[in-house]
Amino acid sequence: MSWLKTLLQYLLYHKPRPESTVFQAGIEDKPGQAETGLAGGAGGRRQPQAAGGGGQKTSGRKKRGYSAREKFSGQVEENLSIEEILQGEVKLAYSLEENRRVLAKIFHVPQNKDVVLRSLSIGTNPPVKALLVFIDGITNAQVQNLAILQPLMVLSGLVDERRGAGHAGSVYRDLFDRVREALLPNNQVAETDTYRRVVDDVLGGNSALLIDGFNQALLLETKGWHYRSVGTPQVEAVIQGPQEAFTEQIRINTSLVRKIIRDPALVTEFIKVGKSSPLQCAVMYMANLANPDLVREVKRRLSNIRADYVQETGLMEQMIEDNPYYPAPQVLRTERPDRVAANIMEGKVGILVGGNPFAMVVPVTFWDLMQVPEDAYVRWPFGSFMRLIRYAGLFLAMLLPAHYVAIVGYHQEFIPTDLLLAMTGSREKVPFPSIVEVLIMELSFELIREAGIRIPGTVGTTLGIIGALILGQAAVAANIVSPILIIVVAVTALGSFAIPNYSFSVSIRVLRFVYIFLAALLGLLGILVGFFIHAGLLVSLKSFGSPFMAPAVPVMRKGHDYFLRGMAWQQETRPDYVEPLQERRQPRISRRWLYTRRGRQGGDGP
Amino acid sequence: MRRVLGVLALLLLVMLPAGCYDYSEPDEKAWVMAMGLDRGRQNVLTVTAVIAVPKNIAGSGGGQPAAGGGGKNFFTVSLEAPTLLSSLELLNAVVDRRADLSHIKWFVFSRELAEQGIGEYLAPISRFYQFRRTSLMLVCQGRAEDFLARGLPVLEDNAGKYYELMHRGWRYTEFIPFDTFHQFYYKSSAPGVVPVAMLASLERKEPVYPDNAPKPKGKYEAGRIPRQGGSSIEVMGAAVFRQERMVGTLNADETGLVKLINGTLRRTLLDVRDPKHPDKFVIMEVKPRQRPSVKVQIAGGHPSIEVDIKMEGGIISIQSGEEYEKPGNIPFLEDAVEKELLEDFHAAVAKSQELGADFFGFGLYAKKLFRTWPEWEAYNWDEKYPMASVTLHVDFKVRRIGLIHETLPQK
Amino acid sequence: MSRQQPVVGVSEAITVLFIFISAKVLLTHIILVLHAGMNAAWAIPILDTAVALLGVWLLVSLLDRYSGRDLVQIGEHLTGPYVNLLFSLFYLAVFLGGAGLALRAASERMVAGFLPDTPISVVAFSFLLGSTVVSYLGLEAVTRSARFLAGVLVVSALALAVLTVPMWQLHVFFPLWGAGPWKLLLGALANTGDFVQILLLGLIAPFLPASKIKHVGVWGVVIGGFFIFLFILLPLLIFTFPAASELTLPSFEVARIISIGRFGQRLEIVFMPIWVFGNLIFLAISLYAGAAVLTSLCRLNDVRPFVLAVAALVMTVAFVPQNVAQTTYWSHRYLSQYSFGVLVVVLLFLHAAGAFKKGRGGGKQ
Repeated sequence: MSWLKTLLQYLLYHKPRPESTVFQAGIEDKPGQAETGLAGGAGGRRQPQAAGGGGQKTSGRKKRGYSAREKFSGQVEENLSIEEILQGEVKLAYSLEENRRVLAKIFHVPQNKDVVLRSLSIGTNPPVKALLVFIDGITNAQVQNLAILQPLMVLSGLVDERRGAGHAGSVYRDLFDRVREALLPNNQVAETDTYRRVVDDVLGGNSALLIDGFNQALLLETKGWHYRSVGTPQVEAVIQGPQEAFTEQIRINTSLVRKIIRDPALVTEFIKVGKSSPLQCAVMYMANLANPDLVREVKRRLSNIRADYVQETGLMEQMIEDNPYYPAPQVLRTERPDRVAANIMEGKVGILVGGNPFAMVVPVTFWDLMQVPEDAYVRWPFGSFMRLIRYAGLFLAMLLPAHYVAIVGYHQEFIPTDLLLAMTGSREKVPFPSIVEVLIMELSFELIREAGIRIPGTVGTTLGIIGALILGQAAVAANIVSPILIIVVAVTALGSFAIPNYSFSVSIRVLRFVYIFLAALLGLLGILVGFFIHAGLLVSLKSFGSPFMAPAVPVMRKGHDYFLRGMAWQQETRPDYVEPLQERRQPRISRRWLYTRRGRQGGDGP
Repeated sequence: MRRVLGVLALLLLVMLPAGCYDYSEPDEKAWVMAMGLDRGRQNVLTVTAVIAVPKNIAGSGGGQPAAGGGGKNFFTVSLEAPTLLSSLELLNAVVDRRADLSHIKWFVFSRELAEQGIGEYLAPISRFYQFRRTSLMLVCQGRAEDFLARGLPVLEDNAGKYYELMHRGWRYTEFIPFDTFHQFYYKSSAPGVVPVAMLASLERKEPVYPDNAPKPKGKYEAGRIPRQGGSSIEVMGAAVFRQERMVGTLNADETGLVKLINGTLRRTLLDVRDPKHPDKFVIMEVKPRQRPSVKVQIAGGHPSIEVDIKMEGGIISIQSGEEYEKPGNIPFLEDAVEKELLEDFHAAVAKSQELGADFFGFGLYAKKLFRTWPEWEAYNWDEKYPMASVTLHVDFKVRRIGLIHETLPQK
Repeated sequence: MSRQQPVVGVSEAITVLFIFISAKVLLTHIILVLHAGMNAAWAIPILDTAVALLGVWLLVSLLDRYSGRDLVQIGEHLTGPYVNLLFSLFYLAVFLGGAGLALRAASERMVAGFLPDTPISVVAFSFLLGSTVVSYLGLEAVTRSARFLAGVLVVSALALAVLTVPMWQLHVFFPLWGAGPWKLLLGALANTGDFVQILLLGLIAPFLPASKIKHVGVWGVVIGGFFIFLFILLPLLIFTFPAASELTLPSFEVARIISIGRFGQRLEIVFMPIWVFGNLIFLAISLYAGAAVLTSLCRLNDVRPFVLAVAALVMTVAFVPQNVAQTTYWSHRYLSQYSFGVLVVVLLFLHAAGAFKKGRGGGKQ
């Protein structure tokens, strides 16, 4: 009968099996959390806290972590000791074995298969043990073979034999010196005596050579990772103008800028940013133009970032911007080398982030965010006209739905009588108030836009159909929205697409909803009060010390290129708000040929 | 920060239902296009409101026009009320949507009421925020409630547009005064001028004139236009007010002269008796050449007013076949026009002095003679005006002659 | 927290000053000069501008002599803390009383014109919220947002004038002398208080370029005077004399009367930014100035702690008048009439004290 019992067991009762994962998060946290809650509630004040200002939240978070840390205390301790080695600038040891042991610990070597600790012996007489440390995949094996291993292991002996041992001592201090000077046909070689530097360089694609008996390491240039080649701009496309964009390789990016600005005054400084995985950042500026204080400020901010992970321009931007609470970008992000170059030539500072096809330009003003390089590349009337259209787009995107709500809900007397009666008549069967209609349509439009970005390319075409259905005739036919609202939403969408800066556009899209709520609350008064506060915030905003609304407010010397685009020969001065070292950009008369007689040769006057 | 944001969001949420005090959808309001005031039958006033029916104008949802255009485009409600604005409250008892007056185009006063005095009805119009000074003042012959109820637009769906376009004729005819409520109001408070209002009427069914003797169209006025067909309301001429009381009417030509002196006449057609064939007419297009110059002098206590009018125009038609378009003959026509205008003008001035109402606004020119406002007020123009001597100079020039430059005799 | 000393450019300062002076044209009490000047009331702001320029001269000569200090500090230096307290209370009364009455009047005008069913407190609160936030952000935010929005204000104010050209009745200028030359002059003297806001100059002077204070004062007064002139002239031209004097909201009615064809009617919404921004800027300046007086008085460095307190005070003042008519008449009686005289007396007293101190040899630092 036991089979029957088993059957019954299967049918009626299934004993809960423990979940079959090793890693379980969130379970053992609970008691800890409750405990903190109690402690905080009962005696939060009495609890002696070393941190003082830390508050309950921090203590709670700490406590929650304890269980995992206690369980793996050995590993935690090991991590801490690695941290100590790196942070404490511990010097390399003389013994190669000791160095190998430490490096293996740092790189978690037996488990970590990326890191290669290649033992070799230098073919001198007598042979010396050495260790080559590198990471597989981001180094160039060809270079390693031909420029490091071959000379060290094979050719070094040849040289030795020819010259004889006696000679060597006279030219080189020691073997280490000799290896560096004579044995490594590598274009960049540095030396160091700390683990930290070794680790940093190895992570950056270089190889480190440690030689037995020396407490120094040679760092060899062997970078060889894969990157995208220079392509066309994806976000900031122009019709007429350069068609190349930054790529993920910072060195290529700097070269793209330098290719445009062929001036010895263009300085590229590298700064390491971040703590646990430092990132190469290039700060580019014109030494004879950019205000040194501005450059100092940029470097100060970059080098004082203490963060875990800032591998992306956007993350970096959030780390260095002046006012994180304000919904407008305070850093200009661009993927166009020509734009960076043009801005650098105005006395601004470009920041290129390693591994990122987007560069940052600081300081930035509101007007910069509304410009595109093409304004300058077409003739001035069209450039100015395009800008006007864009500003119109900005205001429509931000305020049109709000105005629709305000006027339809509060100020109907403003609507022409015919239109009012037409609107009234066409809404007779719409059950929602206008504000709900607007929110439905705006949110569904945002939904379509978000989905359009995330949708895989192969099914992308369906989105257009769905979007057209939702935002089109169907919503009207179903009496969900009034027909005029379709126009409002469409124009709003067009307006927001006309804003050239993506992150600015996003912030405007968000602000739009704020204005819609204000309009629903108090009509136009709400919008205007909101706009006043908005303007107050805008004008008090600063981007790296430059007022965001400059040169409109505070009033500064205005070039012919902040609101409208002046003629190319009118662009005589650099913007005042960056306080460049040279104000004049070109002489008062740029078109000298107008004043030189026809027969005369040469451009430089008499 | 997060806590602050949370509190702000909560505040906003609390405010949302509490706010929106004035929020209302356009389809929750009844749009009043015109209001009429009559002497009441069961109360002081009969107030008539014309309320548009949007669903018949726009067609209901889906954007398609209403099938067949079944219903009327507006309806009228006449309420017996003690005052103009109390009817606005009463209206809500009759109409489901809240009545809104901000799109009102016409205020129609019945002639009976206007002759009684309308001062007490002007005050609310200038004070109440929904009324607008750009709306129009009309005086209609007969009762305003019938006038509005039967005044169905023919060409338009929207009664508001109809009312506005009816007044638009001031641009190209002489007989529709330009004045809106704004002009009416300031003229009724300023010394030196009296207001006029547009005169309107339902069409007159019975014949106006017993015979078909020639009568220039300028002698017509609303309610006395012999016609058949068309919309059942008509506007022509003006009602003259003095001390907030209607004291008389102006016919088409007189209205034109008032506009001419006020500078609001743009063009008009004039029926001029043919100087050589008194039973025939020459039709002339007449435009002011420059603003009329009015000089007022006060000698011996009586003002003497000198008006200088310069006009120009063209020949529209010559019935008699007389070759007036020849350069030598043009002065005949010019004289005829000048004579016609002078005659009309003298008649109109006589009428205004008889009524004691300076609807031409000569007093506004007399102001220049005074140094200070109290002196001007003390002069009391309205009393002096009837004794004033008015001289008029008209100068008319024919500028163009139309598409025929010489008239062939008809066989 | 060490905040940088705010810097106010000349252009921003002129803007702030002229908006501060002329924002009252958006409210009712400005039209009361029609009682004094009748149909020639437009001359009163012109005369008052001249008087105000004298006041600016008095004020600037004082500020120039003690550059780097504001009026409160100068007062304290010259007259000691107790007399200066009296003076400061006067400044506070001008700023806070003006702001309170303006807040009430502006909110009432919103309620009267646009939001008839909304409680006045909600409207007043929204006005106060906007101005408090901006003035809390500091003098720079106030002046810069004023400068930023001044374009909107000036363009719409001029558009208001241009769009009503067809309605202008030029006969309004006659009889030329209006109420009579003597009465006109008296009326002008009685309404000098419309320019008492030049007091602001005394508070922002330390943040201005030192040599430009007079420039700022003169231009601020002249432009402000122009707008007051314009907004007295416009209702006169459009509504003519006796009818114009009964308007509660002259600027509002001017906007309502615009009628350019069938489409261009009922345009007052388009001009709403003038009323809202104008009053918001006025209130923000008042709040800042009130807080600045208190800050100077208490010898603190940062105005921000006082802004909220001042805002609360302004809200309280706003609801002291029982009704809108009282607000108008109070604004006229206590601010537009006598305050400028008091200001001149204060300035003269300070000058005299300065001369006395200098005479004794202990004067200049």
